[in-house]
Parts: sequence; C-alpha cells; structure tokens
Amino acid sequence: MQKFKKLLTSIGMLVVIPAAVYAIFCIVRPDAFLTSGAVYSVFLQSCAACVLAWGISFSLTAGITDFSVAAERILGTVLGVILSRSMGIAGLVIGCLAVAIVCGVIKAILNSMIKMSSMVISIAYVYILGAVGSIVQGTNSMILTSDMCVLGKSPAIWIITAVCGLIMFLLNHYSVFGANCRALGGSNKIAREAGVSKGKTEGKAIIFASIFAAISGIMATSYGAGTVAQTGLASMSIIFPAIIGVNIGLLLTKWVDITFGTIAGVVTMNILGTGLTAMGVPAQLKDTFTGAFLLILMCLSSFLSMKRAEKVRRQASELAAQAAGAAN
Amino acid sequence: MKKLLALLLALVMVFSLAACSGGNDAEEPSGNEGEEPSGNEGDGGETPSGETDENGLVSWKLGMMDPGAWNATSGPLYAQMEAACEALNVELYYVVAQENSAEGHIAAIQNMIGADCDGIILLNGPLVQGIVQQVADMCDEAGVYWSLSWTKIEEGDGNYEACMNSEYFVSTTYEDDVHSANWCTNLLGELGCTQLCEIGFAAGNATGDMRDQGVQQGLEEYSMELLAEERDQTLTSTSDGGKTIMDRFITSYPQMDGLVIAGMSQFVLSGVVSSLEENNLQDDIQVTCIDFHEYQTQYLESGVLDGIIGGHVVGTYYSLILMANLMNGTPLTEEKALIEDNFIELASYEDALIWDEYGNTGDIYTAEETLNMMQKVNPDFTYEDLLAVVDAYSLDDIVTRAEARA
Repeated sequence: MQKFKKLLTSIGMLVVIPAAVYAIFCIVRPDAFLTSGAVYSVFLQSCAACVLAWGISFSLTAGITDFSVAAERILGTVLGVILSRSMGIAGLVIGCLAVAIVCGVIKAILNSMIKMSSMVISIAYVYILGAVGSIVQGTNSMILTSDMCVLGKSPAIWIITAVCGLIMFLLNHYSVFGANCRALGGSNKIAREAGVSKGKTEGKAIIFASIFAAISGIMATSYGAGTVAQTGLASMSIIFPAIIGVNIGLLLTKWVDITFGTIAGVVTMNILGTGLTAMGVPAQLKDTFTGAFLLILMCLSSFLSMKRAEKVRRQASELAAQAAGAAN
Repeated sequence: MKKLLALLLALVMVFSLAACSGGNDAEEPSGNEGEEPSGNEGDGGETPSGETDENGLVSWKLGMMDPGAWNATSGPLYAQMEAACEALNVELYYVVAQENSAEGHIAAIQNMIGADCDGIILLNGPLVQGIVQQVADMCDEAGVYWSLSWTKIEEGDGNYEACMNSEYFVSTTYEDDVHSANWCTNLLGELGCTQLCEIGFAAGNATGDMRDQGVQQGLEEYSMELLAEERDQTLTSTSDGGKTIMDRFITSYPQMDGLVIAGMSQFVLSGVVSSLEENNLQDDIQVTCIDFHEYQTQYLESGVLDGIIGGHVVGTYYSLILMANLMNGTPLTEEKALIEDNFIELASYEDALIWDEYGNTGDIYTAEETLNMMQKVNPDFTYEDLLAVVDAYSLDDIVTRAEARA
C-alpha cells in the first residue's frame, strides 16, 4: 500500500507541472489545445531536447557546466550531413557519433588535467568547435532531403528517445557511475574521501554528454531537415532549453527519477512555448513570461522544501519529547 | 604539464580563429605599412602609397568581418568581394567578432585597425549594435577609411550625423528593407492569403524593425491579419527550431494560410518546409521569405515556397569600388555616398534557375568589369556611371551582362 501510494505521488508530481500549464492553455485556447494533435506535437518537439538534457544531466549533477556540447553537436551534424551525401543516413549517424567520441575523449582528458572552471573552458571549446564547424561546412549544402529525415520522424524518433531514456534510467538508478555523479554533486570532498575518482567520473559524464548530444543532433537534424554551422557563441542558445529541462527535473528528484523529471521539464517548456504562441503574446514578452514561470517554479520548490524540512523538524522534536516523557 | 596544456588549448583556439581569416592573412601587407601616406584626395586625406600592380593600382589592405559559416547570402557576397579584391590589388583581411555584441564588434574593428588595415567595410553590425558613432571615432582617430553596407542612415537618426561628421567615412549602401518585407507580404496577399504568421528577427534589430514596417504595410494593403509571430533566437537559429515554430503555428492557428519569414530564413526555412510537408499543408499555406536560401530553387519548383527576395550581395562591392578609387587617388565623388541598391526578387522557379546560372556564381561583376570601374584604368568612369550600375542591378541586368560576355 505504501509503495502504491508512493507510486501515485511520483506520477502526480511528474504530471502536475506540465498538466497545470497545459490546463491553463486549454482554458485560454481550447480550440488549439484540446486536440490530440497538440499533445502529439508538443511531445514530438521535446524528443531531441530531452535526449540532450539527459546527456548533460550527469555533468550538471556532478557540477560540470559544459556549454560546448551544443557546438559539438553542430559540428557533428555538419560532418554528418556532408557524409550523408555519399553514405546516406549511415553517414549522418557516423559523422555525429565520430565527432562526439573524439571531442568527448579530448575534453575528458583535458578536464582531468586543467584545474579551471568547466564553464570557462567550455566557452573556449565553443569558439574552437564553432570555427571548425564553419571550416568543415565550407560551401556545402546543409539541407537534408526528405528521405534522409527518417530518424526525425515517427516511429524512429520515439524509439530513439525511448532507448536513450532507458539507458539514462538504468545508468542513473543502477550504475556506480550515476551514484558517483550524485556523490560529486553533493560534496566533492566527501565523495573523494569515499573513494570516488573525480577525474574519471567527470570524464565519463563528459563523454556521456557528448554521445547523447550527438544522438540529439541526429534527431534534430533529421527533424528539422538540416543544420547550419554557427561560429562564436551562437551555438550556446541550443543548450539553454536543455539546461532548463534538467533543472526542472532536479526540482522533482524528491519524487521522481531525473529521467522522467527531465521529460516533464522539457515538455513543460514546450507547452509554454506553444501556449504563448497560441495566445499571440508579443515576442518581447515571451521571454518575460518564461522567466517569470521559472522563478515561480523555483520559489514554489524552495517553499515546499522548507515546509518539508519544518515537518521533519517538528516530527523529530515530537519524538524527542515523547522519548523524554517516557524516560521520566 | 597542466600549464603547457592550457597554453596548447589557447594556441589551438588562436589557430582556429586564424584559419577563418583570408587566405593570405599571414602575408605582410604590401601596402603602406610604415610609410607616410602620400595622397590626400579624400576628405580624410590619407591614401596608401604601396606597390602598384600591372594596372597601376596601388596595393592596400581592407578589413572585413569574418563571414562565418557559408550561406546563400553571405557566400556570394564574400565570393564577389574576394574576386574584386584580387582584381583591385587589395589584400582582404578578415576578423572574427568574438561575440555578437557591441563590445564584440568594437574589439573586432580595433583588431582590423591594429592589423594596419587601410580601409574597413562593415555590414549592418554597427547599426544593429548601436555603435556607429564609436566606429566613426575609432576610424577617425586611426586615420582609416570606413564604409557600411546593409545600413540605412537618415538625417536626424544620430548615425547619419556620426557618418557625415567622420573625416574618414566613405559610403554606406543599403537596401529598402521596408520594400523587401512588403514584397513578401503583398505576394501572399495576391495569392489570396488572409491569415498570416511571421518569423522575424529578435526585437531591437534595426533591419528587423524596417521589415516589420513592410509587413505591416502589406497587411493593411491586402486587409490581412497577423495571427502570431516568433522571434525567439533559440528557435530561429536552427532548422529544427524552424520546424518547431511551424508546428506550433499549425497547432495554434489551423486557419493560418500564409507565412512571412522576415529574417533568419537561412536557418529556419528547411524546418518550415519539413513541417509543411509532414502535415501535408504545402498547398494550403503559402510561404514567402527574405534572404536567399541554398534550396530555394527546389522549394520554388515543388511549390512549397512561393517567393523569395534577396540577392543583396553587391552593396559591399559598390563600397569597395568607391574606396578603391579613393585609395588610388581618384575618388569618384568628393561627397560621402549614400547608395540604395536593389534586391533580386524570385517569384517563380524559372527566376530561381536564372539566378542559379548567372547570379549565384560569386562573380556577378567580373574582374574586367571591376577594373573598368576604376578611374585609373578607365578615366571616363564617373560616380554617375557607378550609380547607373547600381540602379541597373536586377535579374535582367545580370543575365544581359553575362550573355554579352559570352
């Protein structure tokens, strides 16, 4: 019974945020939102972002902020699109994964050697990868023809998302790597004293993020039928929705696994985006709404945490009082 | 070891940026480095006195922003510039703006000045970032001639005054961006659309503001309604973002029958097309856009795209002609030039084929034509002749000149 209650609470917490946001838009624009097509569209839009968010979740949990996975993803897709001209879909997959593995390994090695803020180093990577992407692209067309877009369409996109989700869930729940990342994120010092290798764990998290970014790149390029190299810091805009998704997922980790929490986060942001478009909110105000929504969510989360801590404290003092009474 | 690796990383970064620069960046400038300028024909008065080529044209160094990744607009523009620079004995020096901000642009311009560029031609960066006055100050202080492109300045807007008061300002070229957006919107009106959505630049972009004005005029002219707009750069900078935007429009506005892409076409159009095809709406929703796209011919052929306006790839070239004449001591005009150049309008598959064959070649103006615009080579060429060249620029003009050459 207790387990069933916990399961119900988990499911409730998982759907409460996206459902609440969706419900609001259903009231405002029922004609647009009370359709199966709308739900389908929102979930479809969320697939590639979910995979990217899962990819960076281990890094973020372990305390690494790596903006360069987006630039890496773009470089991979640029190479992938070029290879797809001669090798078909296999070329796209090979290009993306090859770049991910090479960049991931290099970044992991450098991370263990350079003791500097991961965020600062990642910005250097963004510049390098952006410039390389531009050179690789040259004057090549970056558009995928319709027959090359299979991996961004149903059912392939659902299958890839599900498999990535399963891998993420298993690694997070049942692997030492997942536990080590959480330990590092909790306290570096305690984790190291407990025998967790910071360098190795962070390295694995970086490579994992690279590979998942490559998979999300394959999905996004197939979904949008193309890619474009982006120099400077332009590529960073891709990473922010994923970071927001992970952070909402982290807010929900008290109740649900981060794998599902991240889905809730990404889907919520897409519902919000679709809803604000449906409401005809001026473009300038959309960011304000999104920012305000995230602030409310953070405040709510802090409030709930405080309430919960207060409840625990109260229970503890009651128990202590009972124990003291029994002793007297 | 760690320090060595950090140094290595920094070096790799530097080399990656250097790789984006022009092919002959590493060479020492053959112009007036270290020499006293001899000419004083322009307002600023200082022109290079370096080595001359077989045409008697003096060597000088031109700074431009690195074009970044190739696209159907920047590609032909820079290809034309590179071809013209080669013909005019000009060394082209590219600098990367590390970030798309005022500071990033200022730093890039300082780098050009630091690299001994004799002249600088910038696109609409200074206008968008609101730093025209700063650019004027920097160039005046360094004695570097400068021009703008894709930049419309008008009396009283502050930018106009900054340019006109700058001793070293040469010219600006611009297109009528109100017209470009108006052309797109009107085309949808002519196709019978009544309910439109728009994808555009983020707020605060001067070019975007002009295009919005053009869209608004079109809406009024054809009594159309703008249902929604999307300007979120996290979406408008990728093709999957383009698809997401279109999916959202389709979900939220089933009555939508037209889309204007007034900016970021190079990123979003393929995603928009993918969404239309997947939803089987290519015949129900008409699409027009600004800025040429690498797949525009295929899209126009399939009918998923109904019109595209762009081809504004020669404004910098006209600026170069003015500056090159000035550098050679034969300025075409003593005035600071404000030149409006033309867009190319592709309203059919046939138009796109013509552009592909004659316009998308990187040498809309050949080396011979370029040299003929230099008074040192062709003393009869005047400023009025240049204005006639600018005014003639159209699909017909490109074809006529190409066929005459053949």
